[in-house]
Amino acid sequence: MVKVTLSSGTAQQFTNGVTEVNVEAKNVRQMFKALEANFPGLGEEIQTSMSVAIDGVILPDPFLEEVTEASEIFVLPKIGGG
Amino acid sequence: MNEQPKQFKWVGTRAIRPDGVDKVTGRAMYGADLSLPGMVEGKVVRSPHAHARIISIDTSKAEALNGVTAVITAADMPVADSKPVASGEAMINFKDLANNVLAREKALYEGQAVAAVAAKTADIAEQAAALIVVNYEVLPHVIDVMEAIKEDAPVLHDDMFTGGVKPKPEKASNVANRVEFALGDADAGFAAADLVIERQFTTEPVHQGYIEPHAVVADMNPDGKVDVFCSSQGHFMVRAFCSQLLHIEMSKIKVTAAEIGGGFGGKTTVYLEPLAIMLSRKSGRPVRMTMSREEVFRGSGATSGAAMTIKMGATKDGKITGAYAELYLQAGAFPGSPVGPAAMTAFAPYDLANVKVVGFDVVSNRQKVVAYRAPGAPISEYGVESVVDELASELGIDPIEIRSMNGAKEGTQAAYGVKFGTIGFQETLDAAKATEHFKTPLGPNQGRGVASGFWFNIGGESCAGIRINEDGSISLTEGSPDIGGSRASMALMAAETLGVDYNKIKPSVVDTDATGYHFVTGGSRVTFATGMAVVEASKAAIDELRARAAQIWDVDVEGVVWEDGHAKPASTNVGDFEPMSLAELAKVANKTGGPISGHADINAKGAGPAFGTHICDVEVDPDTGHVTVLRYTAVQDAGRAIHPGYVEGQIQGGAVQGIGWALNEEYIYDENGCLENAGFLDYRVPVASDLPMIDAIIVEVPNPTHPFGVRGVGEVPIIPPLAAVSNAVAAATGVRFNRLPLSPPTILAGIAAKK
Repeated sequence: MVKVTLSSGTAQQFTNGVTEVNVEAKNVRQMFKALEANFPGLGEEIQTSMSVAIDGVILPDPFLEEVTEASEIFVLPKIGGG
Repeated sequence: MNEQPKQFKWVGTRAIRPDGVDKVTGRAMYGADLSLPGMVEGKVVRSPHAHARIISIDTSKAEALNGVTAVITAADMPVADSKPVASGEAMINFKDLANNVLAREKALYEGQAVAAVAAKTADIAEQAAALIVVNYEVLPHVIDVMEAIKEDAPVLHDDMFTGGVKPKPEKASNVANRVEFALGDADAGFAAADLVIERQFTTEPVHQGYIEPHAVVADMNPDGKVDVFCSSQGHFMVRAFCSQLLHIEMSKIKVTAAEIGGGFGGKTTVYLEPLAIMLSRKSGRPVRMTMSREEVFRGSGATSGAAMTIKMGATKDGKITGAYAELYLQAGAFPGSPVGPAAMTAFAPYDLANVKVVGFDVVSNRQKVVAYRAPGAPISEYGVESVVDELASELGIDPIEIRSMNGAKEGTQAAYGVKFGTIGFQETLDAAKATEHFKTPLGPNQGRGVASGFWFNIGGESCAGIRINEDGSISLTEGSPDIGGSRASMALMAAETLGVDYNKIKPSVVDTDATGYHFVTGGSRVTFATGMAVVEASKAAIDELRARAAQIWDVDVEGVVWEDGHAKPASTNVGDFEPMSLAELAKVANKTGGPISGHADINAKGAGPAFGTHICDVEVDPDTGHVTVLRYTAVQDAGRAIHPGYVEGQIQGGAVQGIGWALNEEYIYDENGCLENAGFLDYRVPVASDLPMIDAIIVEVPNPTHPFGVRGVGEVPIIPPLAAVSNAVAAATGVRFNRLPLSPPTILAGIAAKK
């Protein structure tokens, strides 16, 4: 199981306010799939509109990255810049 | 810059920029400089109303004018899908982008394009534009962000329902989205505080103020292929957006990046480019379009104006126990303000256990917001850094000390969730405190302000090619438009990696047919991400050079190492061979397998967060309210300064833009929602004579994920000035204004109220 931490705003929309959710996944692709299955709309929302930070590294387009029980995973808005 | 041990031969030197001579002698080609045979000139017709329904557009008189080659309206443009895409600081929607490029049903701000013409001369185009008759139904408008969220405010989009809330609202409103971040329990944090300060702040929208207006030349051939030459922060972005908007395959569009006279985020989207392509298609000729300065103000995006509440609590010894922010950011006519980054960065410089940030993205009848250096961060961090200053003042604690005792360090969890790796915030505070500036006494009516800032920095897609020419010179190709001297930085990193003379390398920013996809030049990403691609491409070329030497020496490639620009035997066991230089290997490349090159196509990860701390001294004239910036020092962690001169330039430029935001810049609208100061005479940006030299101090805490430690520098320096200036003015006057800009009337009113 991997622990995925959502912002409180995202949690209110998709997980009844629960900011930490656990899903079975070995990589980000599986994580998205599991999140979508458990919380309809969430996996899709993250893939299209959000970034994921794994162990402090913000990834705008994560997909194949490995995740483990020890991974610190946060879901964030996309970040660009000027 | 701090004295660093000499580690590199080229990285960290102040080499002459490869594009410098062309730029100072007027040879460099900017967007408006290209002229093609048969080229015609384009002109945009813009809405005179802040909010109006377009009933009809009659183009017949314009089309009949001698010399007119094409007239277009939204009817000539495919109806775009409602499809989100990442652009700059926000997700955008192609339906919105299409409407921003050319209004279809409603004009949502004064200056929005509603039609365009092309004609043999600019004068004829202007006459034709005046002959286009647009019949409008004028609608009530709203500009101010807090007015726009009122129940009875005119609603811009009757199909827009606030996102980020559950259940989905049943009534359309101007609030496009809500974001929220929380860590711990903010209320519990306030309960534990000895002092709680809550303040409301406002900031005005400001324009990026790039010197070069938007400009493009587009040429569509009869077979449907398109050449575009334009001023842009991302020619791949231009290709992608035009492809989507006009339903043209990407492979048929070649975009060449002109030299660019500033962008600062404002050129991370398209305005004229799709129009020029449509006019070229209809004219059968190349079309050039340029914006006037007035059009830049009326028709292109600024950053958000904002209103916010900031609340922070601290113990009497200065430990911050709780923090709360509520942010309302204008998005302009379509959703997509930088409220997300504003919310994430607000408290990021601090190690806080109890924090909550709520943000709202609000549409109103003004230009669609587009990125501006560190989008959103200057706004939210202005409020936070003002309250931190007030906490320090009330508690009798040095303003740098309170930041240091609460400042983020390696392992700190930011309010937006991520734990920082190696960061250099404390080092910027230490460097600021050690300056002679911070210790210098002040005189009457003078004040000193301190503020800090944080930005994430980003990576993203970049490519690079290293081609070793027959004579040993090197052609370096990449596709990130050079705004701040990046060609020099790329060449320095290549020279360092290859072990060759910097002057042997010619870097080029090539067109979209000549390299792979690059994300825009923005987010302080190019030196990090494209630099990483250059290093990888250089290493690939080195691998090939080693292989060629191995062939010549008839040894295994593992027996060849690359040192100081030469192939050498890895040990005496390999054999007794004279080292071969890159030039010697290049000379015989035809005999060892042909041309030698290295390429890298990457999606760079691991951008290093960056922090800065600024010190500002001002003198306030109590009779006129005029603020003079006496002295300014900006300290920033660059990770590694590849070219210190250009890093200092970024720091100085960002600081100046932030000072302008703090003191002068604002949009002034009349009662009809029309802009009254669409020019640099009335929209006052700081010029060289207004300011002292900005002293830039570079701190280097290397980013471990980059081969040379680069973090990126362009975003951070615009963040601290808003609060640094405001805090200095508060110290000079004894009045906390809590609104920007601090123009003379505002200062005088504050001083009078205090009396």
